[in-house]
Amino acid sequence: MTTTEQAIHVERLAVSYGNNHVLHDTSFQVRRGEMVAVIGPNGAGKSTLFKAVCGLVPASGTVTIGGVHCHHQRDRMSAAYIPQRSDLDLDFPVTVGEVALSGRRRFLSWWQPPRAVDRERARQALETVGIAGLDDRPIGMLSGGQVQRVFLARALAQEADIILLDEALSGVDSPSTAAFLDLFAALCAGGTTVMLATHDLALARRRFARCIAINGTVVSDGPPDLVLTGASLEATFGSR
Amino acid sequence: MTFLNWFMDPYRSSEFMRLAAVGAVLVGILAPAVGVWVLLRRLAYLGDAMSHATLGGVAGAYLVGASITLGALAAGLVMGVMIAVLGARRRLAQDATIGVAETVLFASGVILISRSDGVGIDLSHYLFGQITTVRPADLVLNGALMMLALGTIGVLFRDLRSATFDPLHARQVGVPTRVLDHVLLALVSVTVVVSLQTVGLLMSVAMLVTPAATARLVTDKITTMTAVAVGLGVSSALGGLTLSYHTASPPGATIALVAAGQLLVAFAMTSAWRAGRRLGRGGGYATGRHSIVPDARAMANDAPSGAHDKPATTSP
Repeated sequence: MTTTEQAIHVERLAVSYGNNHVLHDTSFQVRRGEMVAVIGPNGAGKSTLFKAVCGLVPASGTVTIGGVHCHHQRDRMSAAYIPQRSDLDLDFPVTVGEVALSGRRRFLSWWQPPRAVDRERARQALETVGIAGLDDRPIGMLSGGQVQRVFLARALAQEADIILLDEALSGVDSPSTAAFLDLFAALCAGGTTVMLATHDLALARRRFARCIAINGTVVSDGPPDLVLTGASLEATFGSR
Repeated sequence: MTFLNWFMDPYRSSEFMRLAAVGAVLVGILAPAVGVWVLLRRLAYLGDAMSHATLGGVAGAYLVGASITLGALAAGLVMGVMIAVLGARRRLAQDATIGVAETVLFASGVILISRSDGVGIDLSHYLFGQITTVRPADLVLNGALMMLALGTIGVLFRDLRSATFDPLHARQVGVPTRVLDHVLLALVSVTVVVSLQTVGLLMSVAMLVTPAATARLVTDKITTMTAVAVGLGVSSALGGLTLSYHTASPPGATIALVAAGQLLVAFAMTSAWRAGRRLGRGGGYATGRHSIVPDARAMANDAPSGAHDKPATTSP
């Protein structure tokens, strides 16, 4: 894989919280435009892996994004991490439009108010994810699927080349899930890389060409037929 | 006597009440504007602790003849450093480090004041305020501090909002979240300083937390929440001051109770409104402030929400 094709290159990544070694010796590469499901049991390190790629937790090892070796946080601004809904206070007094616009901060200085182009990009992003016109609605008044759409819009407004979604589709009904996956496929076709952490193995099998199974490290990596089989699943979900 | 006369009477008759009113308005504007962020970040305890800790700086400054304002700000700085240093140990939770830092500075203040016989320093002045001794020079200084704090909030407004709602994403797109944490500590410290004479150390947290909490009950946007909180802050400060004049009660405590009264009224009104909506919907129910039943516009944009977790169809 040449560096121009490469979206993410993780080499010997390790993350510990105190004495709790969450990830060790984790290495993998993801191409531009690839759509990857990350599976593994609770506590396997799926969220931590995404946060480490985005530089949001202290980690050792190397992370390369878009061919650029990440030394500073600004090297990672083209990646967007979409947290689990349960990690945020969805009663927070913020509107759909404000959340989408916050993705534009990447292109602004701390003192600089959003420009017309930023408002336009945020509006387009909301339109792309299918919730145009809800700008003034507080996020606390949205359904689960709509909240995920807002976060996806924020990632699009950020012009992220890599979108890492943490359990984004849990609690989202099947028509919305299908709509999301179509949207991901369209984004990937345009060159965006999408990684989705999920518990839904049937979904991973049906809609993803590649699965990475992790449990403290990469247990198996490849097409679903290979990764989601008895022995591989036993290795992933069996005791650590 | 009409209400207007009742309200204006104290200010017509005395110069010190007019000065006190200006001091009260400054607190009524600044404390709720900062308090909005204190509330949204669940830092009410920090605000309370910071106000107590200020006593150490005030007493120290008084004894060495330095500016009380600088002493109070220095106490805030020491408090921030202590919290940061102690908090670096994962075993010490933040509320514990705040509690320790607060009591160290408060206790130092009490001991310093007890040693100050003959200097004429009165503990109760700082604890409960001495609004009727406000001088024009104090107001100018407090006004300048207020403008500085409000300007800071204005410029950093969007970053504060992002960093408070989703700190991880904020960091990812370049918001200096650590710096903002320190800025907020400084803003709380400045608020306590401005509140010192008007409502006193012990009641300053009332103006920091209560109007913002009342505003949160009735608003869903931080900009409107701030505007409503400041309106409530100014009205409770002036209302409390006037009431304290007529009832000969301590001003700081009266202002705190008027602010709490506003919260009770808002609580009762929003409770009645929610009950009315429940009845109107014919047995539907609401969680928190918002209905979990999406309205027609929301339905049109999204398939009906499944609030339950969809189980994985294949289990390992």
